[in-house]
Amino acid sequence: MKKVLTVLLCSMLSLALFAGGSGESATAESAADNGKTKLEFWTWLSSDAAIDAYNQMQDDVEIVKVQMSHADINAKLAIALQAGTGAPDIYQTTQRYYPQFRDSGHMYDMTSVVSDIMDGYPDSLKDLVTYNGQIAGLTPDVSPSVMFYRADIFEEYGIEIETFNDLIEAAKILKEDGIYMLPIFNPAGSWGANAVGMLLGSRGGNYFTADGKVIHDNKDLEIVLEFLNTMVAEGYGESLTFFTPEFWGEFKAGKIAAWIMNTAEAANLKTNAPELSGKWKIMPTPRWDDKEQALSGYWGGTVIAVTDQSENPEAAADFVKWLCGSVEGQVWAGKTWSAVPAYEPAYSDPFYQEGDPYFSGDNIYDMILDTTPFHYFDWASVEMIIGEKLDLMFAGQLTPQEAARAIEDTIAAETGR
Amino acid sequence: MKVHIDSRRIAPYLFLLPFLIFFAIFRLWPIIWSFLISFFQLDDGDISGFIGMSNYITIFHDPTFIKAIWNTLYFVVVYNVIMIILAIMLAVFCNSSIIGGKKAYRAVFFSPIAMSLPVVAVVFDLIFARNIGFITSLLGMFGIEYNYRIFASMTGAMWAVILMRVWRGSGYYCAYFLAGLTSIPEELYESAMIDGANAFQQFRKITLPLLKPMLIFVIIMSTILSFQLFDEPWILTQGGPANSTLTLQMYLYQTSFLKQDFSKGAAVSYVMTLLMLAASIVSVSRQKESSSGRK
Repeated sequence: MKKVLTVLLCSMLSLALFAGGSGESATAESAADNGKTKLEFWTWLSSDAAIDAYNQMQDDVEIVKVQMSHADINAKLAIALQAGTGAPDIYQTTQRYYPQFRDSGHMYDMTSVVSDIMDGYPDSLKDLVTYNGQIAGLTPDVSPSVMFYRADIFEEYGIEIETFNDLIEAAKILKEDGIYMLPIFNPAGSWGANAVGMLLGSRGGNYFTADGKVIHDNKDLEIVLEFLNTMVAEGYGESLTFFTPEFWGEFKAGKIAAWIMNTAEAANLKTNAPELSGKWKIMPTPRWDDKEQALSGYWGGTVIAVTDQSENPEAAADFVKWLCGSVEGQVWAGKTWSAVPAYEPAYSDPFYQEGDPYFSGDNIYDMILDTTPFHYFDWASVEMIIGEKLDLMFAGQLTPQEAARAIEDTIAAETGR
Repeated sequence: MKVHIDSRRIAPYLFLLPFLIFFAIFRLWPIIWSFLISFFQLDDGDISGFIGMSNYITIFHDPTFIKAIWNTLYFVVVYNVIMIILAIMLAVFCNSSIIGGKKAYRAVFFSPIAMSLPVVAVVFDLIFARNIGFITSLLGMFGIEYNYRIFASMTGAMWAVILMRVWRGSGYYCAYFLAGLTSIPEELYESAMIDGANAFQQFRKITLPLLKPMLIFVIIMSTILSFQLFDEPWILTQGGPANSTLTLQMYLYQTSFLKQDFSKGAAVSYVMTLLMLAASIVSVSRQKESSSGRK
């Protein structure tokens, strides 16, 4: 009897352990307590209000947000897609990293659900989400650049900015009082490639041609690097690791007078420096002195897609369509993470005509200039290469011209482009 | 035919079975699988072609990987030497009979380990901050201007990371050394004092030799953990400036998860494993050699 009991106990233990991870249990979890089917949505953005608004309209499904950094989303998603299990129903990632997931072939084909709204997007965004003729995601936002500036500081010093040279001239005056004109990413990290890319875009430039070839002898890149190097070498810009406590601390201490950045960071600024409400204003990205037209640079924006592991892909696609491809969803995106709509009909909504008290009543959407297409290829490698070369330039080991050539040559060698 | 089952013989194995099954699936199999895929090309998660040592050859031709190895070894050696010396000093201090309030000191020394790594990184970010930081304020009180941004310095950034780790780790390992010190019989010190040995001689001839087993344990544990350095430099520098704080763990992360090259990432992880193994073996054998030399 004792023998039988022992064997039974061990067998039960083993079975119990395995039963804990069974698929049956996971399926049971997907039904919410309220009887609705839960759809998991990975994002790093504070989009709770938009999700709540959608959930309140739904009888059968509930979107459950799982918040993590976009680096974590990319890492976990890469493993889950390769392993064939563990991916969410819906995920959000940056436009610059999205192509690697799109091209994996593991995205749900949303064509039948969203084909009627695709005319609302510019061609470049339609191309971005199309894979083998199928629509494999939608863009909720774009991230063009503007210039946030401290109205009180600009007024006190009588600063008026139209061009990038104006920025340098004004920075000379501010430096005397220990104020920096701009924060500069130093060490560059992954921010470097994106910030340089944004400034390149404000010149109409690129790292790559549209068909993915590295642009050699890139004069636009040289000019951008020359500007950044001047800001660091002359002490006009403050070297900071972006989004650390030191970074926000310098803003709050009134050490930073302006910030050329993508529109999405307006929300970040408001969250991390609420005490500066009413002191900021917004203007369009300055014009480069050798250019006749000022442009907004491009930081990338985001994409939301449904994975082929979703058990309810149509319901998931309906949510993506609402958030990215309806005026109502786009207004919620604007309210929650200051999204600049990718879906052009959304601009007709009065919400996008309103000013923001934090920015002294300025309307950020009025400050966006024309953009030219910016091309992303092998972005993980590009970020690492550019980050290293920028650091060497800031350390005085490369001139801006040498850094530009080193960036072009290394990207070409490493990616074969 | 009747099969006779000896329950007393089988029972232990049956009780171990759940652990063994889980160990095999979640520990052993990933180790074997990752070793295998380092020699194969992966296509959408499936093995698609044998590529031999190609991954290993590629990474050793990559100057960034060599830089990551150098940075990691530099960190491991410098951090461990400073941290262990400091931890022993703290332990001796806390164990001293002439010090009052030992429990309070122990609690204070141990407390940094209770803080999560990202929090520690944030705290040190504000300590070192050039314009608004603790060092700036402190020196400012004496009229000294601090105009050095350590995380933007190719020579200083790694030292900032080392300081952070030493601050966090020395109190923790001090607890191990304290446990070792309490096991040393008081009579040894008394007889040494009778023989005229001063405090330093007692430390060198009694304390250190008898702490040796604990020292070996701490070196191995600390070495393995310090090879896995990731959070602090990732938060504060992302491996910069110019890869000066890039560690093997960060290179592994970049390769596997950012570039999504899991096959090459597996090769990196095995190089890391070999380095950790070698460092541990060297540490232990050197300790054993010095122990046997004294006998």
